[in-house]
Amino acid sequence: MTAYIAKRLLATVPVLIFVGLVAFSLVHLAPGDAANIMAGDYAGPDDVKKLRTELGLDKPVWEQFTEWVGRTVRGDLGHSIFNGKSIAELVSTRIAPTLSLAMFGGLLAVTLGVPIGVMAAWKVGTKWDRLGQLWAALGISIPGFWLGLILIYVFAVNLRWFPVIGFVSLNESVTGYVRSLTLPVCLLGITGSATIVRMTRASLLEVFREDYIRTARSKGLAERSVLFRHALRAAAIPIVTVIGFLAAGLITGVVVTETVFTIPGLGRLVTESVGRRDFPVVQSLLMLLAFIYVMVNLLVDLSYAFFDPRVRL
Amino acid sequence: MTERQTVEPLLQVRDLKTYFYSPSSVVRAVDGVTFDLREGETLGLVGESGCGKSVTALTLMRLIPNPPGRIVGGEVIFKGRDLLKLSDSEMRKVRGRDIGMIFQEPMSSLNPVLTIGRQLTEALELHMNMSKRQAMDRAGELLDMVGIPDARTRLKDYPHQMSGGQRQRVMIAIALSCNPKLLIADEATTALDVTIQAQILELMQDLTSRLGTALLIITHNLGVVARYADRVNVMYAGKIREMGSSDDIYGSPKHPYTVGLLNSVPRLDEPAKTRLAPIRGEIPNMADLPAGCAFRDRCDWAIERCGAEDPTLTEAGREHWSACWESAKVSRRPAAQKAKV
Repeated sequence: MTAYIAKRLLATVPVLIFVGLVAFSLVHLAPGDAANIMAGDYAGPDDVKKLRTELGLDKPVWEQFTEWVGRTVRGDLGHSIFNGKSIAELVSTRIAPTLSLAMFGGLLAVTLGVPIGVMAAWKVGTKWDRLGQLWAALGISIPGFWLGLILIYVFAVNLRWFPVIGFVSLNESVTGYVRSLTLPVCLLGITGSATIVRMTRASLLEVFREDYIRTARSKGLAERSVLFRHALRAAAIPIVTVIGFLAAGLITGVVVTETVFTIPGLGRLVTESVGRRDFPVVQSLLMLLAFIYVMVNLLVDLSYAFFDPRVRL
Repeated sequence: MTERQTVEPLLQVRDLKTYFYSPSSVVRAVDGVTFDLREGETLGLVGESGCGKSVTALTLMRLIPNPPGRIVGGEVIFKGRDLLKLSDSEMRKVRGRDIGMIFQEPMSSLNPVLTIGRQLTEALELHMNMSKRQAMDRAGELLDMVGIPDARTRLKDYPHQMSGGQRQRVMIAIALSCNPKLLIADEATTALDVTIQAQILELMQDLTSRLGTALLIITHNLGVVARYADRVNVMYAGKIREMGSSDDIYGSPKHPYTVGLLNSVPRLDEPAKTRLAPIRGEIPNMADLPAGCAFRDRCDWAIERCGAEDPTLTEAGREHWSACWESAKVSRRPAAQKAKV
């Protein structure tokens, strides 16, 4: 088990190097010159040149890359070229709302998605099944930003149950925290649950056709036991896998959600920094998000062994 | 049917009909099956793939997937009660407790994500009101009984850690765990190696005779039935075509289909170069059976009447019935001679 985890952790290194390469290239291939932007409208060509040297932007690209990798590995994420703040500090102030959103959104997606999927599979062919599938189809096809705006319009603007924008931290006010998160969490949960519904339904329907389900029935077990003891556990692996994918979806979903609800989280920091050509911040955030994603998938892989004894670790 | 019977049979199947429905057709998989099974006896149900023998077994257990299947008629009188009239919850008390069942595929019949122990104990807890600990103790005894070495430690194993033969032994242990009156073995040895087949059959025979359990062996393998069954039902295209004692079925078959089956099995008492005589033609399309006898297109004895009327089971000897207009003329000779061409 320990060897397996160590192996999997080692395997993340090439992935992260590749992500780093892509992140670096994307930022440096994008049009716009950071030095120009930083120097401002009244700077002369000499000032820009001087700034460029300071930032190391005049060095060859590969040298910039190795320097950046070296600093990142040592834990020095560098500084924003927009406001000079350290990136570590920027991340730490912005991570709370994002983590709250992703965790509760993911939790809601699972608690909605698995039961709806189970119901659809259990009552296959009935109106309950069609309702579940409708839910899944809508969740997949409705764009998140549009649903977000509708939620804001109905529940925040018209009904005034929730604030329209912004985020209240847990330290400031618990009710404020809950109220400011409710709508964005609902948005993430609804859109996230759609794929879980589909996978749960498909996976269960496949398991229902297995011989061992017939065996379970031939023992005289009640349908409840057949479903929960025999079928659901056997169907778990594809469901857990899709929940792992959802983690990736949540990362991108959080960017959209934070933008729609104007929540000062990591997602917003990404979009703001892209707009400002603040390349050190963009690079570091991409690396951070990739790292989180890789870790979530490691957890998913480990959970396989829990659900299926045939998976040897 | 048996006029001199004094004890009521354990199981009386009467005019059983199970059909499968698709938008365009109806498959009469079991179409008027009638037979008895006496307490403690071993009965063989023989026929080609697709003749309806497995559907018969699943119908007895009311495990026909619906849709597309439906039990459309008949009676299954088990210990004096018609199983087809029981409520779902009453039927669940019959399954696993009064009737145990073993299936064809040992590789897929056990749940891969549950331990052997758990799969044994759940029926014990359910039907025998045992505590978890009692059930686990009993599960160890059962595994021991079916000849799995080191039974207690194997309880913690998962199915993938066992061979096909061992898994089928586990299935037998599960099926017999609550001392059922009837054990149904649906092609239970077909997927196993020949040597393992014999072991498993011996085990089933031995255990059922020791426990006084009746055994219904469903197979396409006449050799299996010859050796283990007291009586045999031969099934073709959803109906029983011949029934009688094993000796009669093998010694003096009275239905052309039975003759065909026997002739397509290699025999040690024939000259080595004798060619096997498979039954000519193919199994008819079950969704579109012709009028009359379903076997007539493949039959060497067919007469005009066979195209018009489907014969019903009539007495062809003592406790021996055949559904054939020409049953008096049928014997193993002609087909066997033809085989020497």
